[in-house]
Amino acid sequence: MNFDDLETKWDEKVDEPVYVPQKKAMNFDDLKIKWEEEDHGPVYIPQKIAHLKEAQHPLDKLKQNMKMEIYFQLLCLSLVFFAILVHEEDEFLHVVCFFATAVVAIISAFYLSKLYKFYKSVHVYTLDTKDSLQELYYNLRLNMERYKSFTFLAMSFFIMHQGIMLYSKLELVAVTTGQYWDNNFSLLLLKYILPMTISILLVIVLTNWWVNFFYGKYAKQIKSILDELKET
Amino acid sequence: MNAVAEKQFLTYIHQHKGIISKIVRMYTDNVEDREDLQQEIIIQLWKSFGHYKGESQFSTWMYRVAINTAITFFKKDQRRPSSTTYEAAPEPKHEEYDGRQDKQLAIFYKCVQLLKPVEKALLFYFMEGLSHREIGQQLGISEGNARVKLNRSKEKLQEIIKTHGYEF
Repeated sequence: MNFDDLETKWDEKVDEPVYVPQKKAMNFDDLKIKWEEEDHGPVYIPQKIAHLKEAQHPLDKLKQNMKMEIYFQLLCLSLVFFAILVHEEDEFLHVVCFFATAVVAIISAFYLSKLYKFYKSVHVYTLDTKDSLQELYYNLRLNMERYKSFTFLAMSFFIMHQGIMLYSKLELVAVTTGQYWDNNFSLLLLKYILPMTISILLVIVLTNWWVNFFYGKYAKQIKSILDELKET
Repeated sequence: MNAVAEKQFLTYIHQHKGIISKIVRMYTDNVEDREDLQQEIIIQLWKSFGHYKGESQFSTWMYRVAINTAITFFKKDQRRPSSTTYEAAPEPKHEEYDGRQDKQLAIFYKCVQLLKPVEKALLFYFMEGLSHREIGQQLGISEGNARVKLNRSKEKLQEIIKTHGYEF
């Protein structure tokens, strides 16, 4: 055997069958025909509408959640208001508290009416997809900001409450000791102002984080779909 | 809405239940999600039924509501992959083999799971035989945009299907 012979044989045509796996053919026209003829499979349609389960759509769940949170905030506001009435004996402070609460109540009524309107609104799915998504996205973002504003408003009521408590204590100390500034004042300020400042910062950070985490995620998903629809 | 409207609505739904079936198969990949989405589509159709004035065919109106519902029906645990890859789509869980269904269609539904929501909508309308103009009207985009996006979606789907041993 030599390499010349081997090279000659290498170049010779081989008649042995070579197995080439055949790819199955598919095309959209065939798929469309099969799509038309497809057996639908099980679709549960109730005898009556009342038999339908409660809506599980993410938007409806978000609205339910927002409703519960607003009830909770209203409860907290009420507790703060009554705490002032119960703890403070000074009639003047009661009057201050009453007017401050009235201001907060009026502004709260504005925000709550808007949030309630959002809660009650039925999203219209009959528009074309882009309009439907834009309306949904706009309403969601608007009410996220309204919700944050309402929370910060409630914070201001809390600050007012702490201010009234602090004033009351400072006045008591001043009347008792005859002095308006001593170490007790500094301690009192520290006892009220420091926790208050930390609480305010915590509420701001947590509210922003909570709203963006819970509601912002859905808004971001809607936005990404809207971006897919943009002109290319 | 009254009992007459309810009866009319349920009749329409029975006549067009294939639309619901196809949409939920395109947008979900397991039995549990499919049932949830089916229910949700029927609920939203009922809520929107008062807006249907008969100017268009019921099926055209139904496409819009059903697709809009499916497209915004995000599951919390995001069982659908968030980005398109050309790996095999996940096997549907808890689903028994349905011998009646065509194999090619089964592959189609499996591969479609890897597409984005708008791409699925484009392909759905295409499979239903809508023109580019009609697809654009349903989605709220121009005819040209619909054409371009549909072609891209078809190319993407073809590439995914090729990984399953099929050739377009």
